[in-house]
Amino acid sequence: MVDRPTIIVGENNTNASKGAQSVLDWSPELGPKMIRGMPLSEALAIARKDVLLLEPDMPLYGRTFGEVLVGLEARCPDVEPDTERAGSYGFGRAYIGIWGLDRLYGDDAHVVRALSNAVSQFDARIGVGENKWLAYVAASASSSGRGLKITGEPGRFLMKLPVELLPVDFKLTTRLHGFGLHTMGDIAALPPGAMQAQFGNDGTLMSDLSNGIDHRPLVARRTEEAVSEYLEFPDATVSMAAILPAIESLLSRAYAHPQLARRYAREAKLEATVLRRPPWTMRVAFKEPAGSRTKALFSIKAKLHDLALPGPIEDIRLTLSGLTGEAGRQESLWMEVRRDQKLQEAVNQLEVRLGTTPPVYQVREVEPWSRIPERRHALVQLSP
Amino acid sequence: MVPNSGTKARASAIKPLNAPTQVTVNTDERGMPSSVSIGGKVNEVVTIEDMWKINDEWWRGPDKEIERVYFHTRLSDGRPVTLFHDLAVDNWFRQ
Repeated sequence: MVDRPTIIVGENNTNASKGAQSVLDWSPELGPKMIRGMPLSEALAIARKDVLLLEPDMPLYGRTFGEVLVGLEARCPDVEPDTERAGSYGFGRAYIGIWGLDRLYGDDAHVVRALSNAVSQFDARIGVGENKWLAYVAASASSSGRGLKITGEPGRFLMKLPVELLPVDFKLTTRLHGFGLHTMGDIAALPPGAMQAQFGNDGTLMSDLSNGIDHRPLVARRTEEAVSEYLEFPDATVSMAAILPAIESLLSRAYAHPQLARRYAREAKLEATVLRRPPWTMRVAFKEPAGSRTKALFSIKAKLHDLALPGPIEDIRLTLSGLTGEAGRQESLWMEVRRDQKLQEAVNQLEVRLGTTPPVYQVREVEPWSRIPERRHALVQLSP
Repeated sequence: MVPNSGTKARASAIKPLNAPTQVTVNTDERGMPSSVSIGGKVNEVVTIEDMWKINDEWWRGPDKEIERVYFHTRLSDGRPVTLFHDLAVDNWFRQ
């Protein structure tokens, strides 16, 4: 793979071309003509070489990027992963609030060095700007392991940059070229109203960004406690007879973890590497937080029962998250109260599943003394 | 398994219980039910086990007056069925 041009291909998540195969990333030798989100057919036409196509391993990217974020958070508390594009190609992009860090590290150059050291194993590009967009553009223009800071008038910096940097669909970028708008300077020269009239909300966004305007706040991510366990199969398997004991073993190991001692988990995530196929992921949200291997296994089994695996799996990773702070569950002394609570939970569950008030009724006396039979009782909507 | 009716699930506040449904009833010369058509099938009335009359809400006027003659019957297939003759509209109902 070292000397071979490679394209990572994935499904396009934009509304305009949902489901189509598009370019997520590519190796440097394919040159600057490649654009993220470009349809695969166009990318292959540009490449004109013996290109290797790879499916993305999103779970691996997610885990690796998670480790990078933890490394960055050790140096700076305000770290926001770019979740807007995490589903497609946002992995690897994070915004960091560096206000006040000069007292700790010194000037911006020292801060950049400290952050660069946190991700030394990767080709990190760091940009410093007054808002998220300017920081991103500066990072895109900087070189490997270096930082770039935008000072002065942002418009002067942006005016020569290509419109491909704008966070819009590939088809929209093509339309921009059709109108003769090749750089952000071309867009900034137009009144915002004209852009909005032609491209709608995307037009306003492009006009703002081309002028260096970005009002999005930095929202630092909330760190979530999770316990993760991993197991590799001796041979790839599709047999539930092998997979279920493996999950049970992973659950035993997870619940033996000190972090989960006397605590409950709200969600389990299973990730597996599938032989010659993209990785497989499954989430199981427990109806009630699971405090033991048996309860968690019961819910996972129920979900696996209705599911067909995409192929033989080589390994499996279990992550339990949404850990509760409680060390036990409060049971009610009065069984009737507990019964009503259970009924209410069941109704709530149905409401979520049906998307409307569930048609669950109870028989109530209306006019039990009436001589007319249909007036004695009625079905009224259940409200436990 | 119950087939999907295709109608959207919804809940209204109150649903009447034991509401009467109109049926076709053949009567004998005394006006007693002799057979009843339920689900497209005609069933013979074997016995009339009980009979009573309701006359209510007469004070609300002739249009709203409730005047029914009830028959607790047993059909030829052994099913007990309660029928009534609505004298106000001259129709038969099952309840």
